[in-house]
Amino acid sequence: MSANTLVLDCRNVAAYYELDYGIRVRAVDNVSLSVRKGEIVGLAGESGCGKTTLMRTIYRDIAPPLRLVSGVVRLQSANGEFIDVYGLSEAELKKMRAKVISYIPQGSMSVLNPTSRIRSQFLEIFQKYGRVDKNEALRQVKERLRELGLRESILASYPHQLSGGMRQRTVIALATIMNPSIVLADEPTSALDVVYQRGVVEMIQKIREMYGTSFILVSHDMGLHYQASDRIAIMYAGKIIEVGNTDDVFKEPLHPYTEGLINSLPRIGGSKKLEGLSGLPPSLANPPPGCRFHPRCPYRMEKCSAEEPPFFTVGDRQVACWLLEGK
Amino acid sequence: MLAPRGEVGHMEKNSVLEVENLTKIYKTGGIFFGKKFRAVDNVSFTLGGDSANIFTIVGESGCGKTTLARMILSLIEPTYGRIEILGKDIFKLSSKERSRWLPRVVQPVFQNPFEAFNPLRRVYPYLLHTSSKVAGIEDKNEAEERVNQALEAVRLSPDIAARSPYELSGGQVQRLSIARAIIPRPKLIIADEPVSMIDASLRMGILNIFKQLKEELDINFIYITHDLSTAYYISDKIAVMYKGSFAEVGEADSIFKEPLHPYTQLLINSIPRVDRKWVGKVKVTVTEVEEYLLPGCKFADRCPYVMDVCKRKAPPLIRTSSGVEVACWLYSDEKH
Repeated sequence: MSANTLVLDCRNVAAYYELDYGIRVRAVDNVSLSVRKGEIVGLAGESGCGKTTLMRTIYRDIAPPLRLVSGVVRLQSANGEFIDVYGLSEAELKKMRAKVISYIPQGSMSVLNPTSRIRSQFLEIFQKYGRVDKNEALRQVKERLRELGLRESILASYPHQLSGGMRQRTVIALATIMNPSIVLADEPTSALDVVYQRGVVEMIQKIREMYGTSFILVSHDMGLHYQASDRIAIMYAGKIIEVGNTDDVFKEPLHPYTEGLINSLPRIGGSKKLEGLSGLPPSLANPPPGCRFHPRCPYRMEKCSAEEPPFFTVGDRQVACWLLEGK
Repeated sequence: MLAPRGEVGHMEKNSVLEVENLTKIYKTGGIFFGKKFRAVDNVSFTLGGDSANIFTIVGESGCGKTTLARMILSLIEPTYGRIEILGKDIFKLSSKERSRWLPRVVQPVFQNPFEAFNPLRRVYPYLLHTSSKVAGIEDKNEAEERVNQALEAVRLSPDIAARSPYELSGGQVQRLSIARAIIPRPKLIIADEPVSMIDASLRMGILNIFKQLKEELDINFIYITHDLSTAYYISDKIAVMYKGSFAEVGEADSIFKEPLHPYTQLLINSIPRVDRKWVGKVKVTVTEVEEYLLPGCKFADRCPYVMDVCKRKAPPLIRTSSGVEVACWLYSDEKH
């Protein structure tokens, strides 16, 4: 893998919420994640594990008490250079957005302006970032909608007139209209029904094929990751604990948490009694020492509570677990 | 026109719940040009029998499943139709029966467990109140004993109930709300999306409690969800609801292995499974309120097998040889 195929490269990123009384919530702790061109990377984990904080850190949408404590986030710009997101001025950052990196926060209704028609919301993006006149902009929007299989009639609608699934697909069309190289999509399918979930995933895959866009797809739904992503990163208590090709991870999860997560999923046609993982995710203000999963881990060893496991590489998979030491 | 009533199983004498031709009509728009909107349209089923059952109602958001649940809990009144619990019509109860008897036989478990408890109060006194007032146990020791039994049944230690809701995780609070629901020893629990706010690794634990309560305390469940995988995991029977009506009702196994209704087929083929990838592409249409107003089958616009009759006449529930009931003209022998 040559470095220039990467569109996003995060190295040892730590972002903490620094609260009063010296409390530090270590929501993202020493996370490294890279995304290649045209790749859909799934980011999985339970609520509160730091998925959204990681997305906001990558997008540099952070404000106190959230602070980047250490690490580098680099994006590949249009001319192939790597740019440190945190080394940019506000004006430069604004230019990067929509054109290089786009972020779709959770909840499509909160993204769209409820008082303006979809048409003006598309045009607003062109006003900010595109250098074309209104007619040309509208032509491009219509062409894009046609390519993505959306009805032109949505342009005249207000957000509340669209169904949830349609609204979410409109948001994705909006986020990708400037052809960014990477889109961070936070729970784009939660609150949608399975048929519409599938519609959203198929649209994301289509955008990837047509325009070579990369995606980070944040979801707590493992089934969605299995269907949609090429690679999957599993996050637990602020850390990525396993990264690998989606099919391999589902076939043979190596980290005990991944294993527990995948084995607790109900399978249609299966009749085995499923047990959830015992225990609870730890508080990020006061995480356990060593491996953060060790209090819940069925295979814990003495070392696990003493020392934090580094990433061990197994094939093209990376797993932060002492069980894999020396394998 | 009313479709013939469909039955789930046979009319058992000892049925816990009987729902007949249940319909809820909402009016949308203005007074003069308003449209009638059938949120629940002519739903009939029976629950109960020799042993307790878990009856799941699955459907997309807005299909009317929560409206149906709220009518069974007698939180809203149907426009017409009848609901009988243990042989009593719940909308013809005396006010004393409504406040005393009904909460002892039917109990809810809602989606957001944090809304079920007062955030300013500790949980235990609340449970004790349920035990002495709702379940009507006058002796204090007995009331406490009942609370502790309920906590044990949901596998929580009493010290967890001594805390305030904000000190607990979503999974723990949901267990507490299940414990609260079983204190009066109800015959029926209506659980509306009880695990959709709970983390994936803890979900199965809660669903296992339902299974165990069904077997040990003989409690019937109506499990309302949009999640087909968990529906498969815990259900005895499943009803697939589409735009206010049941599209298909039957044993969980046969519905998943051999879905009959074209909507059920679409739904089951769209589940993000973890053992099989999606095949082909899905056709997504814009859903609008208008679909509710169609005279015939509400799925006709999206159905790949649509026939002439589908747009004119709503299909009745047709019982097939496998025991599944399906509301689709494809399975009708009637000449049309």
